[in-house]
Amino acid sequence: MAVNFQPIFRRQGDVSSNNGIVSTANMAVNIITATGDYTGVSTNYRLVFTSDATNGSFIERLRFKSRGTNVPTVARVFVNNGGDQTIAVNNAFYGEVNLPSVTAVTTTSTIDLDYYMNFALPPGFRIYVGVATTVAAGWNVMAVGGKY
Amino acid sequence: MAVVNQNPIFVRLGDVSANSTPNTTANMATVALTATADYTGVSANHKLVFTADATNGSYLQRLRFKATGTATASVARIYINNGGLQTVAVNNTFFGEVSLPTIVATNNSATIEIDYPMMLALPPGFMVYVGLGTTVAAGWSIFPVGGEY
Amino acid sequence: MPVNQQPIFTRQGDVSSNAGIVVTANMGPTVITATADYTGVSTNHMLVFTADATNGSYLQRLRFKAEGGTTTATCARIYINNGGDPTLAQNNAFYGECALPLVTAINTAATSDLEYAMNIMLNPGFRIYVGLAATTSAAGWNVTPVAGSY
Repeated sequence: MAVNFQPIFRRQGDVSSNNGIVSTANMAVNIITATGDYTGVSTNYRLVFTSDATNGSFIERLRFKSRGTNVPTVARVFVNNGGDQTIAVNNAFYGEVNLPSVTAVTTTSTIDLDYYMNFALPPGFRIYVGVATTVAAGWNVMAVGGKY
Repeated sequence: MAVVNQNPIFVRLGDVSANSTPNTTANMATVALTATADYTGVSANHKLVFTADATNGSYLQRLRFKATGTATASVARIYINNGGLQTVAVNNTFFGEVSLPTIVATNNSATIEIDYPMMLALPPGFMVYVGLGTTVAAGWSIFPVGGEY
Repeated sequence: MPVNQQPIFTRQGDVSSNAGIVVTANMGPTVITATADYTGVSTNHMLVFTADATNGSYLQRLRFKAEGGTTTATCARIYINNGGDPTLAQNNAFYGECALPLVTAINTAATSDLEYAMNIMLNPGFRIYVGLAATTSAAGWNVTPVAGSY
């Protein structure tokens, strides 16, 4: 294959968890139950992003929004190679995000948390996120990315 | 006269796995745990963290280090290998070190994320290995951020 | 020959001493023994980089890392060789020096990564040799080039 002489750019935005396929839980990804590991294998992790199957995708950031009143916890972020997420060797522990205590309120906004990633994912790779301790309302996680 | 290259080159595909073949065992969960006790890269306790594309090589931007639990202070040592046998010292160059602080695992706060910039283009088939100066209990996950040319 | 009006770029990275060829002593040469000259002719100089044989190479920087134990303070001397016999002084240009401090190895903290910026286009087949002004400890200094072939 000849070396590439052109920069690559996203051709389409992608803010869904599963390539825009209209499936259940494609947008409303809520992390709520403790995962209890550093390997990404717990079934309490949630799929938050899937890179394009042909050319891969660029993952810019993850947006966290509290869905109500929650105690403090931490979100753990894993990059999966497209294989079975319950097998540890398919997941790389990439990062953590402090999720503070939040009290739900109807007269003002609560915090918008953006966790920047800013790298290109190979075709079919995925991002999983979970919380370290169980919270009451949960956190919505939305990926901001794009397909190459 | 051979034509010199007059065009910049760009990565064509992101690569964040250890072994440039995405779906292989132990390709993602690279965790360094056991001391290597050398400065040559030959110990079997070194972990393969990145492999450049076999045809055109790759660009390696950085290595991300994350503790996978409670760990005492250590240092990560980074080697670039020419694709030859890693247990033979002349195939490895000692490239860099990263201080890894004491970590106490907690479930309500994030621990530190350490990014070590590499910022270099690797020839085809070259590899990056990492080992620790001291053995730690939980280990450190090592994640490459790179791309194939 | 018309003048070139286009920028040139490296086509492939190169971080080995001998143009990426898989040979013994191709990676991470260690400088350890004093060279006692300013001409580059001592056999204690180590080959650290070779430019592409066809189009030459761009050498961005040299990375120095102490290889353990205690290294006493010294100075690395850097020569550019024209591809000829390095033991003949007329083939070497004394290009630069890099102060290398005393380093005590430790297993719980990183020692310094020392980078010497070169930022130079090398003719095809030209080479870089490095030697030490004073003999250091048994372990020495590993030298890695960060470069690319045109």
